[in-house]
Amino acid sequence: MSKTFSVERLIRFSQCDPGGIVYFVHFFDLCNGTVEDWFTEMIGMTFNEIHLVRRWGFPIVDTGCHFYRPCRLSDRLKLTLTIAKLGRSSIEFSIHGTVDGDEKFRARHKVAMISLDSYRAIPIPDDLRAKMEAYVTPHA
Amino acid sequence: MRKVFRVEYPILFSHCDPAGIVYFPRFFDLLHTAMEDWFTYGLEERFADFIVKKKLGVPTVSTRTDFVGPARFGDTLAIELRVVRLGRASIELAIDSFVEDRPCFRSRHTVCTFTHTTYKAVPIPDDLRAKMTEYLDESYQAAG
Repeated sequence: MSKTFSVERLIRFSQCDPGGIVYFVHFFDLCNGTVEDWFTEMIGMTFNEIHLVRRWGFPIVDTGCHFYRPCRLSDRLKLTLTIAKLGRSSIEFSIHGTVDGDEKFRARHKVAMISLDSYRAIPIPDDLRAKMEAYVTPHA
Repeated sequence: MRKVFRVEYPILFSHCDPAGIVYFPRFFDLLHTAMEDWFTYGLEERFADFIVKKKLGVPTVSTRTDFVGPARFGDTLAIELRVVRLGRASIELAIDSFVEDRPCFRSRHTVCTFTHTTYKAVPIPDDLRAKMTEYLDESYQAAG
């Protein structure tokens, strides 16, 4: 049984647009925040440790996102993360967002591990990979 | 001759993250800014009026975006916008960006016209559709 990681976020005034719904750009920030919390809480490494101490990065390679229904101010958005594919350097996350069980968006979010000194891909270290593998759900 | 809408934006300090490159959600904000400018200057439909006076909107339905190369503080990002498919209410855009000659992000980005009085899709207004058609290139494929 693969693990999932979920966080809940309150949709803030600052995330909504003059149309009264979440400006789509904020969903990508919410996805990034979910990945950041997953690294901290489940992999045991803060983004500060990753980026500023170890000089690693996980820049985005590609993303595909479908937006099914708008999110509104004061919604409680639940974001759920699994890994669709774990490569040598790459992690393809599947992240979906629901409000009271109603699906709002679904994203494929692929990142690759790099060295911030060379900006080249590097293999994910074995100790991190071992923790990540629990979240692999190939058909997520 | 098909039209291509092209704009340039400076990459600012606020766009960049602690890794020293543009934080990727800001690319989507820049993509949206390019679309707003396309409405206002390319389609001659002031985007603020479209939203506020006409109570219409163009929410994102889906996006597929490849991040090919980074952009850094001080760079100038050029963005090119084309229409690749026009549906009844949906507009699929090809939005490519460059720093000098290096590709940055490449996006297929679908929006739809809707009214935010009911949050339902509405057909693209005829006058706007006629202008959008000038940018339509169904066979367009981004280079590389």
